[in-house]
Parts: sequence; structure tokens; C-alpha cells
Amino acid sequence: MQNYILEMKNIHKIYSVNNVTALKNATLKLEKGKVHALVGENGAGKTTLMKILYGIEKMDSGEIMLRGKDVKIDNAKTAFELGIGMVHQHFKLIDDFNIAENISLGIEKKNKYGMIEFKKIQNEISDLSCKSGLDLDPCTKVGDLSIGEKQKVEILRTLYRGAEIIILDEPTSVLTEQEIQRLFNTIKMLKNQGKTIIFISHKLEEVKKISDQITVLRNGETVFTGDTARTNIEEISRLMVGENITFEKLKCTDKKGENIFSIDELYVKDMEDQYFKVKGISLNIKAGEIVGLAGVDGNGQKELIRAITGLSKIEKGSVFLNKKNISDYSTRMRREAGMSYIPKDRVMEGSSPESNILENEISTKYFKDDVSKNGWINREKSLDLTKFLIKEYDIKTPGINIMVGMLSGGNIQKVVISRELSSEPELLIACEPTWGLDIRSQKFVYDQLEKIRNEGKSIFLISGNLDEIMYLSDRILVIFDGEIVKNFDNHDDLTKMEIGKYMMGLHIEEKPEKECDNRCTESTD
Amino acid sequence: MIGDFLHTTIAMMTPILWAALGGLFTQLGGMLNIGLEGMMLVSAFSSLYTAANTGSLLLGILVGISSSMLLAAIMGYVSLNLKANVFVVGLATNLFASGITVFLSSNLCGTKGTLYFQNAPELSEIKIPGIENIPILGDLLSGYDILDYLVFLAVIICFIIIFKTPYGFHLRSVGKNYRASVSVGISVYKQRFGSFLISGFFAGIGGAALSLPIKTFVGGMTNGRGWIALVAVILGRGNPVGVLMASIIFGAASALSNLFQATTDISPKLLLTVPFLVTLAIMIFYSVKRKKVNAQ
Repeated sequence: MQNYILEMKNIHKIYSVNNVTALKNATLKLEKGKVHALVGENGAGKTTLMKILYGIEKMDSGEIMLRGKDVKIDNAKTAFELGIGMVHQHFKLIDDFNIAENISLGIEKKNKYGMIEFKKIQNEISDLSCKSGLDLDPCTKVGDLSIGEKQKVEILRTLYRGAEIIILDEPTSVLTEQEIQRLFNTIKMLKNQGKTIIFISHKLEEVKKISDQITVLRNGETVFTGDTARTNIEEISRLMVGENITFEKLKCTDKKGENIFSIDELYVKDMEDQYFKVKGISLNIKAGEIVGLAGVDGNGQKELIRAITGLSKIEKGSVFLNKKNISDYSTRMRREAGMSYIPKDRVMEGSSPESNILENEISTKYFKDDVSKNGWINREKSLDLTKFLIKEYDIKTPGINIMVGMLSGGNIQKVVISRELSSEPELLIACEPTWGLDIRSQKFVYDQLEKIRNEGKSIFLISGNLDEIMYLSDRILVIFDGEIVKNFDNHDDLTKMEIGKYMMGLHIEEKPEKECDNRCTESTD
Repeated sequence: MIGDFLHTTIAMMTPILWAALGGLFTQLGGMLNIGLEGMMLVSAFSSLYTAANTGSLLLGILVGISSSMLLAAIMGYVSLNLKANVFVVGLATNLFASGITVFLSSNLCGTKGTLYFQNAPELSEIKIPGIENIPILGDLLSGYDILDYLVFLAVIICFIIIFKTPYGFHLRSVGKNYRASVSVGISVYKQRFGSFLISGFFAGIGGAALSLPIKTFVGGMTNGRGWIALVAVILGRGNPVGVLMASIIFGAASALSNLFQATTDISPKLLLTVPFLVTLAIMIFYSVKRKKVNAQ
């Protein structure tokens, strides 16, 4: 018999709220000192299984054995006492506290008067951060950190709490390409220190790269467990989805028409109105063309989009849609002029999670004759429209009155996309349209974009996922430091490396790694 | 006259500061305690009534605190256990308090009007020998009652609890991002319920500090002090020292209003609005300043 550090056997779980079977017969066996990937589509039960392991959810039946002994994990506290740590997909950090405070929260060291010994804690964390190779200054405010650094803080917190098994829930979904590389280095280091890692993901390239073993969940069931080295991506992908889905690069069309959309020498300041983030960008998009905008996050994409869609002020320059200067148009006027917008954050910006599907669907057209008359919303018409869209876009929902926030990520995105495309735009601005979606939903989005492109619409695609840009775009623009630094035709021999060079800013060299010295330099009182 | 003004400022500040320290704790836990006014009022009545009938100041203050904490516990139960909107619960608390005090006053003492207890024990002024005769400084530092002096000690103790002990640390974490607190095993419910009780404790002393020195209770005698305390909490930005500063300003505004009433012919009714006008002005100034800071 093999020696497992952790075994989860025949785990069953039914959510009583909606009677959905989340897990049936799920099994997970971990060997010590290995990186074990847990893969599956959205809703396959990965997160539920981990929540059970971490004591946040209760299982209906099944057993958990840790180092050969039966254990019962009722809450997060028991979990970390047993040496299980979790890095959540959405970080559980307090921005106003510094790193040391965040890490020690809940397990503070006290002196004999019951006071917290912050100095001592800081020193311990500083030592641990050097030893583990996670280079962090414990006195930095967490709000000042980048997302990659925040993730490091979360990992360091599990170490500080003595975790031997570390769960990373979709750790790469929030990171840039470079940060992912750094995360992988961290994971390798932890592995060398004898930690066991559970790596949850649905990005198979990453799984292939970083994991030793792999467990595939489908519809709450374990369908495969084995060594990563002896599998290939196609096989795993088939196991995950139950069928074969592959992406092929879209063929560029020749049927390009006139310029539909153009920007002329656009200047935009940041949200705090301090610095220019967009510095003289000009571009054109023709009818029937998908133009992708590639770039590392924070190079002015957000400001550019906000200015195009009318959410931010334009300092200088003009935006044209269908030969009309729309620079001074309000957001609604821009939409009426033929612009649609799929925002990056589908929950915060793209939809109203606490409104139902119908309300979300008509939110861009409640004033149009389609659904209203003399200022009154026509219940019948809007119901018909919503039913039609649910069917047309295959939105999986228990009913029309369901709050959009209750749907899965893929179905929320379908609501957003159906709303945006049903207004028959001339130009679609699509921001990270597949962020966090599983392969099936991703495929759906790609198909929709392809369809409207072939109908002669223009699409401006902004994405941090370079694969996506390369799959879909006819042309690729690279943004760096608020300027378009390159315009590629998307030939078959164009490589990621080539684009990456421009994304990083050719002339700028990497800063040398600083030495590990993170004793507190400032007082925290 | 300057001495008088300073003395009145501190004396006027005391009840506000006590209540504000209470409000500070709920604020740190992420709940706005609208019920401070009501808690003060209940304690103002019950502490004076008990003190007058038992002849014990200490007992009076303790009963005042208990009644205020009881009200706070009900508020906590309704808003945390029954998940009612804390704002509405707070408003209800205030309405309840103003009703019950007048009801008890008429039932127990036979009047709905001003209640004066001649025989109630004196909350005596403490004169500090040596200092009391120095001009201005003597007025500023000497001649207050015990509750006036204790409130400064309370500021220090609150500071230590909030910034140095695990309780304060956990409470602050709950107020800033309760999801993060839950994920490390901190009970949001316990922290918040605790903060309501502390709130009731301090608001109770605030109420006693209002009625005991003058041995008088009048319906609605808190006269908006609970609300002003709430503003002091917000201006204090989660720090007891900040709350102290804000409370001093409001104390000064009240003292100014008193001063004008004695020395000018301006309508006293108009002058009574001075503290509230000052509150308004400060809030405007504060939000303009904050906007500027955010822009930088």
C-alpha cells in the first residue's frame, strides 16, 4: 500500500439550498512533497471538495484520512491546526493592515499582560519570508501590494500557520504571465521544502508544467488520477469535458469593409485625474474585423476602454463611430450609435447580480420600442425577449426570475453577451470576455464573436490572455505605457515571443532582484 | 471669562466623549450605532432615579450602565441574530428610549416634566489643591466631577484595547473586511455583539454624566448629544484620540452657545443651534478635505 499524506475517499455532498449534487464519489489521494493538480470545469466540484477539506463546508458522507488517521474537519481552525492551509481565489486580506498584521490575525502572540507583540511577530515573519524565499517586507501595507504579492502574503500566511498541505485555488487566474512564472518558482521551492501542494486549475498547459500528479473531476466525480508525466493535454481535456473541444485559429477574412471605428490622437488621464495613462493613441477598425489589443495590465487599457465607452473624460483627441464624432456623447448615446460593451468584470460592471435575468437583459434597451411604450415597460414584450435570449444563447437557469448572481460564471457571461449582442451593434468592445470561464463556455464566446464578425461587425478585443488574442484577431495592436507600440497582422508565423517583446517594452531592462533584507525599516505604530 | 469658557468646554464635552467612545467600538466592528442617544437617555433616567432612591452614586451609575447595556444587547440581538437593519433598529431604540423614560418618569415620580431630586447625592466637584487657584489653568484643570476626570483615563484604556490587544485587533479586522476575519476563524457575531455591549457601557456612563451633576432629568434631555457623539466617532477615524479631539470641538461649540446666551441678546433658541451648525460645518470641511487627499 502506498503512503499517502492525505486521502479523501468517496466524498458525497448535496447542497440543500438548491438540491444540487456537488460531489459524488469524489476521491483525492496526495503523496507528500508532490504538486497535485485538481482539474475540472467550472462547477465540477473542485472548490467544493477543497472547502470540505478546509472545513468550510460539511460533507454528507465519505472519509478524510490524514497521515493514515481518520480526521474530522469542522472548521477552518481545525484545518490549519492539522497543517492544512488554503489560498483562496479571492484573497482574504485586509488592505489597511500591513503584512505582519494580516498574517498573524487570529493567532497573535501575546505577552503576559495580554498585549500583542507586534515587533516579535514582525521579526518571525521576516525570518520566515527569507527562509521560504517569499521575499516580503512585513511592514508593507497590503493595499499597496500587487496581486502577485498579495498571493505571496497568502502563501506565507499558510506557512506561518504551519501548513504542510497548501491548497492553491485557481492561483493563476488573477496573475499576469510574469507573475505566473514567479508563482511557479515559489511552488517549486515549497515542494523542495517538503510541502504538499494542491493546485486547482482548469488551464491544462499550466497543470502540465507544474504538477506531478493529476486528479480530474467531472460533474462531482473523480474520473481520473495519475502521474502528469504519463498523460497529455488532449486526454485530460477530454476527460474533463467528456468530449473533445479544441480551438483553431480563426481564419482572417478578406471581406473587410470600410472603417467603422477610429480613434484619433486620444489622451486620457487615470481615474484620480493625475497622470496621462493614454498618450496619443490612434487606431482604426474596419467592418468585419477583429482587432486585438495585447499588453501587460496597467499600461492604459482600462483608461482607453473607459474613454471609448464614455465612462471617463477624454482630455484630448476624438473617437469616431460610423464617421460620427462621438467624443462628447454620453454612454447611452454611444450605445445608441451602435456600440456594445462587454466589461472585464462581469459581476461588478457587466451585470447587476441582485437583479433577475429579465431585468439584466432589458437594462440596455428598456427605453426602446422593443420592450416599452410611452415610458412604460411592456412586461409581455420583455418576457418574450428574455425567453428568446435564454433559448438562443443556451443560458442555463432554473427560471427567468433567478438573480443573475446565483448563476455560474459562464452563464452570467452568457447573460452579458446576449444582452450586448441582441442590440445588434456595429462595434463590440470585448474586455477579457472569457476570463475565468471553462473550456466549454470559452468556446461558446469564441463562436459568438466569430459569428458577428462574419456578419460584418467590428470587434475590439482587449485581453490579457495572449492565446485568446492570437486565436481571434485579424490584427494585433500592442499597448505599452499608454501608446500603441506595434501593429501586427496576425500571420500564422507570428509568435507569442515576438508580441511579448513589445508588451514588455523592448528598450526597458528588468530590474535586478534585490537582496533579501526585510527587517522593518519604519515603525508601525 | 476664558477660564470659564474652557471649564464649560470640558464639562460639556464629557457626556459626548463617553458616548462617542462607545460608538467607536461598534464603528470599528463595522456597525453604525444610531442608538447611542437612546442608551444615554435611558441611563440618564435610571442612574439618577437609583442614586436618588438609594443614596448611592456608585449604585446609580451601575444601574445606569446596566440599563444602557441591556438596551444595547437588545439592539445587538435584533440586528445581529434577527438580521434586522441596524439603522432602523437604532432609530427604534431611540424612540423606545424617549418613550420609556417619560413613561417611567410619570409612573414612578408623577410628572412628565422636569424631575428634580433635591435629596440625590451630590456628584461633587474635585478641587485640585495648588492648581485650583492659578488663573485660567485652575479653571481648566480643576473643579470637575469624577466622571469628567475618568473619561480621559477611558480614552487611554480604549486606545490600548483597540491597538494593543487581540480583542481590538480582531474587532478592527471585522470592521475592515469581515470575510478575511472569518477565514482565520474569528467570529464576526461575537466581535460585533461585544462591541454593542461596550457601546452600551460607555453610553451608559455618558447618560449618567448628563443627569447626575444637575440632579435633574427631563424627557429628551440628551438633546442630540448621541448624534453629535456619532459625528465625533466618524471624525475620530477609528482612533480614541481623534474622537477626543472631535469631542472637544463639540464641547467648545456648546460652551460658546452658553457664553453667548449669557452675554448677548441673540435669541437663546437660535444659540442652541450653534453645536449643530458647528457639526455641519465640520462635516463639510472634513469631506472636502478628504476629497482632496483622495485626489492626491
